[in-house]
Amino acid sequence: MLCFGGVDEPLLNLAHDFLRGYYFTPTQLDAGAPPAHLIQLHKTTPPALPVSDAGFEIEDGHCFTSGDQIVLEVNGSTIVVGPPEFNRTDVWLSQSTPGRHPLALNNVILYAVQAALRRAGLYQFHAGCVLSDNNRRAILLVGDSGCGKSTLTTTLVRHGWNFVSDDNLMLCDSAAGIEAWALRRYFTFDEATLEACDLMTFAESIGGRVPGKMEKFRFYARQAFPDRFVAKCLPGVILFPTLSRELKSRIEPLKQGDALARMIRQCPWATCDGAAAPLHLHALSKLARQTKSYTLFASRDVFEHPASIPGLIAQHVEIL
Amino acid sequence: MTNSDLSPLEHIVATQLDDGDGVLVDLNTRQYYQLNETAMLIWRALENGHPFEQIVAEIMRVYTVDNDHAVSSAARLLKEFQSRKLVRLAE
Repeated sequence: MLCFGGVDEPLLNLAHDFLRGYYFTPTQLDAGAPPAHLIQLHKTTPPALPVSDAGFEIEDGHCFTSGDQIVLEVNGSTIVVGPPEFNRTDVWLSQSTPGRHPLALNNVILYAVQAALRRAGLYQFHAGCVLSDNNRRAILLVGDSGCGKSTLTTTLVRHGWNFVSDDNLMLCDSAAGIEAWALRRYFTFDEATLEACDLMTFAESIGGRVPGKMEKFRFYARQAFPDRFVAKCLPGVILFPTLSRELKSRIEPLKQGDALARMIRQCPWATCDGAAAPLHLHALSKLARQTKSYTLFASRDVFEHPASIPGLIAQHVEIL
Repeated sequence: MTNSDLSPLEHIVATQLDDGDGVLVDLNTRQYYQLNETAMLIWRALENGHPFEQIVAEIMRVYTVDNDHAVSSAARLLKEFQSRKLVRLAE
């Protein structure tokens, strides 16, 4: 259980609005039951923090380490993720007008929530995740933004596959193996991809533009394909799609070490959040071992004839 | 090189895969390194505090190579670990 502390009414509404986009369930804290992790919000000036390195750039900010804790400067706000045994993240919200913009504050909340989840053993992972009715194990689609994760996920869903997410999920190290959990409630598409995936017919499932990424629209896939949503699953295959100029798409197997290296590249916090990194890396390593990995060289043929994707996968990919 | 008194630094996280390959992550520099099976075997030996001679013997046993070959491989990889600041001289 994550708990926000120190919130006033406007901030509470902001946090609720933000969290509504994700699979979090609002709940009341039981008296006497400590939260798994507390995110304490402050409206005061942050204390001076001794930092032990020059840090590194992150999106919209900078990250430093300070002993066992990490310090994030994001949109003028300061986030201090405490040592693991404290189960606490403190956020000093920016006092500047740009830093108080809802988009900037959403970004700060996102960083704080992700850090808290890492300390609780839940690792955010940018991947699509689909599952066929014929298989027990799912396919993860992993790659940089623009490599076709959402397009491939949606194409497979339109051909009868089930889905967890198009791009945003959590990895959880369970007794059964590494599980993929749904995290964000909506897919994101630009207009061209909505048309290419023939999703304009689901007008009622197309939401507003994604804050901060105005070229993208929210697509509520669970509303469009209500019987196809799966909250969590065990991945058995990882596909790394990459756009190819070759005439025909092809799928090639990948060694576990190469797959793990690619996953580490996709998960910068696996090497940056020192306190959580060993377990985070362990989870990625376990995922590499429990899956078979492949590179999907996606040429124009799969985008011009998306119906060929399930066949291509069936021909080259071994799924349990 | 016969100096075997090397041990992995605390901020290096190692993970081994089913095929014997592995990955090392340096949490200070945020660099990661892919290790082949032989390099991973040597890394595990360092973690277990094995001396150079024992590492050489293990390479000879696992890969059925002669002593010169094993010494050369072990020395080259240990030098590589040192140059990347992944190990330190053991006390």
